[in-house]
Amino acid sequence: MFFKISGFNKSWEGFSLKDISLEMEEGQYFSLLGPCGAGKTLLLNAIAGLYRPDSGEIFMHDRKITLLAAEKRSIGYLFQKDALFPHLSVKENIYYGLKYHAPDKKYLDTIFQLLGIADLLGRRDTVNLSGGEARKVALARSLAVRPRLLLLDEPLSFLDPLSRAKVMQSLKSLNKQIGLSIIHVTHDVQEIKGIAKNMAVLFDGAIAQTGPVEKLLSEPLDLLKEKFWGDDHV
Amino acid sequence: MIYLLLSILLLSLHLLFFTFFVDPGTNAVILSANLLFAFNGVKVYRKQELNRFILYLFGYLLLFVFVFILSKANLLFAIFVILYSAIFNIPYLLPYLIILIFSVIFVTPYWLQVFILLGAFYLFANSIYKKSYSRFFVVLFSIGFVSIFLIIFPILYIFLQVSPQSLILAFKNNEFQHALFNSLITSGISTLIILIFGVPFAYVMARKNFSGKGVLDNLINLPILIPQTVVGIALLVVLGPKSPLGEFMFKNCRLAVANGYLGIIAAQIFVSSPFLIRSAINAFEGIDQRLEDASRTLGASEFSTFMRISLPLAGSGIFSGCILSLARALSEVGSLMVIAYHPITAPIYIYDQFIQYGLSEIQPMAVLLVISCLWAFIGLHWLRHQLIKKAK
Repeated sequence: MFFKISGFNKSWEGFSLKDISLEMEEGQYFSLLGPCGAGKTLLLNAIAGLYRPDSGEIFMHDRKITLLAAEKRSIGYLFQKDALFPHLSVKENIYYGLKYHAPDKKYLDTIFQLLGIADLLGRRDTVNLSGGEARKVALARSLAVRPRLLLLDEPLSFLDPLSRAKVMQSLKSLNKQIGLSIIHVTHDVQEIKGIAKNMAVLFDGAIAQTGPVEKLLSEPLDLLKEKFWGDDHV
Repeated sequence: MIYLLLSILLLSLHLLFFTFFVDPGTNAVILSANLLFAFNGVKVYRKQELNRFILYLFGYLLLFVFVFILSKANLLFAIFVILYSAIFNIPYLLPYLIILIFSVIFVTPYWLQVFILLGAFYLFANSIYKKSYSRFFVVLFSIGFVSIFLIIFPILYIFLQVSPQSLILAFKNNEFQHALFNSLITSGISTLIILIFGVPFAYVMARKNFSGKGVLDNLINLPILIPQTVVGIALLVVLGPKSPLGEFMFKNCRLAVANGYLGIIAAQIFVSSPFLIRSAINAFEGIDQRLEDASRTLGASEFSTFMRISLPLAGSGIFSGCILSLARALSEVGSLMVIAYHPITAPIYIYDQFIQYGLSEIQPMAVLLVISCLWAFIGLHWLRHQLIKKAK
């Protein structure tokens, strides 16, 4: 199994993730759906290694990585508000992680081309980037170090409709063309329709349902029907 | 033409009046002032704005009553009339003239200082109003300016009391130079030591929650609460020649803490550390935790992240803290009097001279110390701006 979480528990500031178990294949586009406050970001942080779980294990390529430091996991993370380094230029941002990983010129060119950000590399400031540009630069930064798995925390939030479509297109081609494994976290079911193959629904800190996207869309649980689909989608 | 005749009539009336009260020399000056006033008055009247003209005459009347009759300053009256006539048509200068007249008439001994401060106040308040049209903020600013006034006034007063010659003389004083040098070196070293030990501590305080953090957080402020003399006594008890530690250091390292550079530095570190540490904590807390998380997921270790993200982003705030801390160390007197009166530092030297020779002797040196400190801080602030610019 490429990636697996089993029996994961974590309490944090009055909120807790309870007995989370997930599995995903390599090269898959996996989606984690849940309303605001369901614990999605907390779960992503744990997968990225930003804190340790109270109990439970995380496996990658059948190797236990639960106690591995974040910088050694090779898991990319696109943060909700991009988290670009304000004191560095666009290029310095993207090349930040290449101090710790061998750079691959050909791979980088592919990434720049896929995201269409080659013309942004000369920009000195990151503050003047538009929402869509900043998101793509952040995406390029996390991809530059060749992560085995990419975590996306609401990758389409705070974007105008045109930028959303562009970023969505980029994500799709990243998954298709370079076979990147992706976990896409969102509260909006429309975002993942037609892209994600498998999904899990997180509700109040626990997995409520998991399986292929089409199946869940066609026969939703009552709870989920109410929360995400709305009556008109049934 | 009729208006001209009319003003000449008015003028001759005034002349008649003045001739009885002032000597001929002053009278000639007042005459020329009044002529200028009348000449300008005709110009104002010609513009067909009766209100302005009445205002113009009213201003003259006020000057006449307050300056000429009540304070009996005849020459001053002539000067003010000339200034008034010249400035009446330049609206943005008029308030400053009013402030000048006010300060000269009502607070004569301090007129220059009051004029400078009130003028500055008007400049700021006017700018605030012009940019926001908020009367509320002008009122708030006026209340707040009282505190600025209390801080600046004594310093401005002592500055304007001292002649440049006496400043140069004071600066050529070898003892003073030596004391100033001692002060700058010791406070620089203290700040450096606090920087080395305080910044890592501040990073932990800003980033991690642990039991007892609240207590530590309050302990940082302790040196601000303790009276300076008590600080000196406490240090003397711990490090003095009769304490085990002081004895040990003197026997084995030939280091005297009391009445030595070490004592000065120890006292300065004690009193100035809160400023740097607090600034550093605030600077680190101001950095979005996500930036550090992002750095970690890109392969940087915690140490790398600290060096490449946290420290550069907090740098400007930490530098400000250094400046504050240096300022505090430089100005320390109380604890130094107890633990290390010698080697003499600048503030202590000034106090020493004051006790020996009195107030007038010491004024130039006091001013010189303020100037040296100001230059040091202006220089440091400039350096900080350059660093920020370079970082961008």
